[in-house]
Amino acid sequence: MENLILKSTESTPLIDFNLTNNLLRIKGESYPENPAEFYLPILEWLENYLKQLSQPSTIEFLIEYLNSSSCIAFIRLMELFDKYFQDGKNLTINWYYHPENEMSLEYGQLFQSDLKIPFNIKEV
Amino acid sequence: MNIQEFDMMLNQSFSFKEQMNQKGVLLCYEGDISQKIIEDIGRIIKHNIEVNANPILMRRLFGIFIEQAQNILHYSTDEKFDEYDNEDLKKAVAILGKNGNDKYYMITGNLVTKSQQKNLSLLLEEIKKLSRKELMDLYVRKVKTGSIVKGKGGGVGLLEIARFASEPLEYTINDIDDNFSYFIMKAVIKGRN
Repeated sequence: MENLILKSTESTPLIDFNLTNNLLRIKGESYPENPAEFYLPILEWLENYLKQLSQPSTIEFLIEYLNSSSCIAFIRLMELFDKYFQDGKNLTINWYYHPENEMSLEYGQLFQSDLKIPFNIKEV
Repeated sequence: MNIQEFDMMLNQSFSFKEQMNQKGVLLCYEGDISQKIIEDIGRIIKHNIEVNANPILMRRLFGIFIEQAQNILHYSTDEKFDEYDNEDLKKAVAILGKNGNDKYYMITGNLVTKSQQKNLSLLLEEIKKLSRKELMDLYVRKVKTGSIVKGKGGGVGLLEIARFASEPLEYTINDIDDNFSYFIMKAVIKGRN
């Protein structure tokens, strides 16, 4: 497997998934025209990564804005992390938000509900 | 166009601009809608000096614009409507403005087919009946069960707009001909909660 790194664009976030330190970072804004086109390959990479994972892994989010269809894609991401956590993988999610961005905090709270995986919401 | 005609048009456009200023218009766009254009207008909304000074207001106005503009984009590129082959489906009007001291509004206008019109009015009438709490619950349910396939959000975009707005959404639909109607929607957002 190789690291997955996608630079941020005006409407897609930075994807920085690093295999050497098992730190997965998603940072920025997300409102692509076609969220399936952007997120399906990411979900596929994650599925392969989580399957073979034996070390602890941390997933960090710093999200400024999500349109509604990206929000649906994020639910899929969270469900995937939660599934592997419940299968015994050592996973932690850290959701960071800027204090003036109430929307980002609300997204964190929305994703946090219904999940078993450790999900920390932290002000930056 | 000769220079005299240009001069006359310029004068007309200044008087139109004056009328818009009196109505509190901060931004007015009329033209094609594409993802690139949506991103550009989104950036202008975010960097509007007055809007930018209030981060909560800025993010709500930005979110409402993005959702509605992408709704228009998705409907205009939906294969189902290819039979109409009407380029005007890809055009829209978007107006951001201010009412009095503390209320901002986003008005969008676009051509819709009769079948879109039916879906839109059903959904908007359903949203109208919901309390704030019911609106949030329905939004959360739709997000949690939604599909990420393009344009298949099941109306979650309109729920997002209703949830960002401080007042119930207003809309009108005017018949154009047998195939098309013109849809106008207004969302009001308070500067302070």
